[in-house]
Amino acid sequence: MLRAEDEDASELKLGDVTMRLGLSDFLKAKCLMNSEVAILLEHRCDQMKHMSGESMHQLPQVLEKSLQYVKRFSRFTNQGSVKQVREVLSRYQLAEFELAVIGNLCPETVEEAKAVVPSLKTKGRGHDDEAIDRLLNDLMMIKKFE
Amino acid sequence: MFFHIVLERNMQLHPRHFGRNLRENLVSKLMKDVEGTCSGQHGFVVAITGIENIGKGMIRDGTGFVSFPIKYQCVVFRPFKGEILEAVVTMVNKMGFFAEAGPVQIFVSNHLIPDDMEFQIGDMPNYTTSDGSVKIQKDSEVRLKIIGTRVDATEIFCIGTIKDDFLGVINDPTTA
Amino acid sequence: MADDDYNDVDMGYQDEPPEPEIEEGAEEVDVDNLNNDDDVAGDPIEAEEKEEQEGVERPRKTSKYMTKYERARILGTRALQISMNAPVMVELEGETDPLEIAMKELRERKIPFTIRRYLPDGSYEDWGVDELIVEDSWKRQVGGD
Repeated sequence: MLRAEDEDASELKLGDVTMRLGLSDFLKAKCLMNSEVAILLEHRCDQMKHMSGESMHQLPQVLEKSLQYVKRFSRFTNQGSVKQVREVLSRYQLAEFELAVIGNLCPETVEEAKAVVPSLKTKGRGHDDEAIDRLLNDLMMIKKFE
Repeated sequence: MFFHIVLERNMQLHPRHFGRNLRENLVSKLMKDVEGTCSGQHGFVVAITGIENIGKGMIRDGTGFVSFPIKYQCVVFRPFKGEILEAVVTMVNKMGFFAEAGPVQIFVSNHLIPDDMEFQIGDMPNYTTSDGSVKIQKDSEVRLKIIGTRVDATEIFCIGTIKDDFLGVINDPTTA
Repeated sequence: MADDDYNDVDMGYQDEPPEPEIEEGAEEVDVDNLNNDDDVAGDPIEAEEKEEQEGVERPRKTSKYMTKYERARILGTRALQISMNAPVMVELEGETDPLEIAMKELRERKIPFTIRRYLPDGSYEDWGVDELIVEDSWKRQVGGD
């Protein structure tokens, strides 16, 4: 059984944690931003409605709740810009998890970015304030032109 | 955090579902069985997005059933300790408040709410700063940090905090 | 369709039986191209499986004759499935007994099974039921009266 001490996303231990716990499935897993999940789930809902036709009464609860959640907290709604966000962010040597958190929360300042993704502060990863600032600017540009 | 992940499962199929629609029957049964479930290991399975591979079936002795190993891609929601995410407040009481992030419930105790926020009882119980500028009530959107998860076989509970930099209310339903 | 005829007579098995318990053990029979209904050919699953088989193929060294034990097990398993409303792979001419239908399927080499023969060293060989020779003396029995 998992214990809370074993995993700490803030320190980016996710990788070795999953390894140790035999959660190797998560190593191959891809972290998703809410905006991406929204696209995936919308697609799945359409598919479901299509399959059951008129008789569609209600979506399963977990799906319904997740869809509401990701719709509410999606920073980017346009499919093209979602793709662009991932493209841009992946240029900055971020771990999957960091990428998704930044994409989800869209921090506005370097301070905020470092607060929500503490692992950015780790030395020797080439993330000085300047680089982070550039990253946030790129993100802002995508948002502006969406 | 949501993940896109490949999982594997053995599905038992009743002989009456054999025939030319075997594959469709198998996939729809998989969706019915798996979507919406929660396992301690993988979190909530939100939706199946694709089938990677269906292996050879193995006949179960004595029952006539056949079990197929299926590899499928799905979207799962799995909270991790230390993760920062946004959530919607669902209930406020003097002990703290509950928030929801997708399928998962997060409790934020009043010890983990900034000290300058006071509980106010009333129709809309809420936590408010002394100057009244920030208010947490039902339907507020908050950014919080998960500091503990309790994962058991079929459920996940989280404890969160908003007592840190850049955490707290991001959208007040009364002003929005 | 053959199985439609059959559904009408099989009234005893409309209810779903309890979920089977999952028992691990040496499985000898596994389903190969169950999705091969009557004359439908080349479904994706079937194709995949063929490939897979060729991947591990070494010259097989066990007998190309079906043993009487294998025959018994196949007929038993298949008859059970047929009794549980599995689609029948042959054209029926009024047969209603599941075992009789299973025998007819075997005779016409339409049983969609693969036999996994385990050898003493733990390795195994897969033989399609349609590849195995059902011996003459048994054919008489398979052929029914």
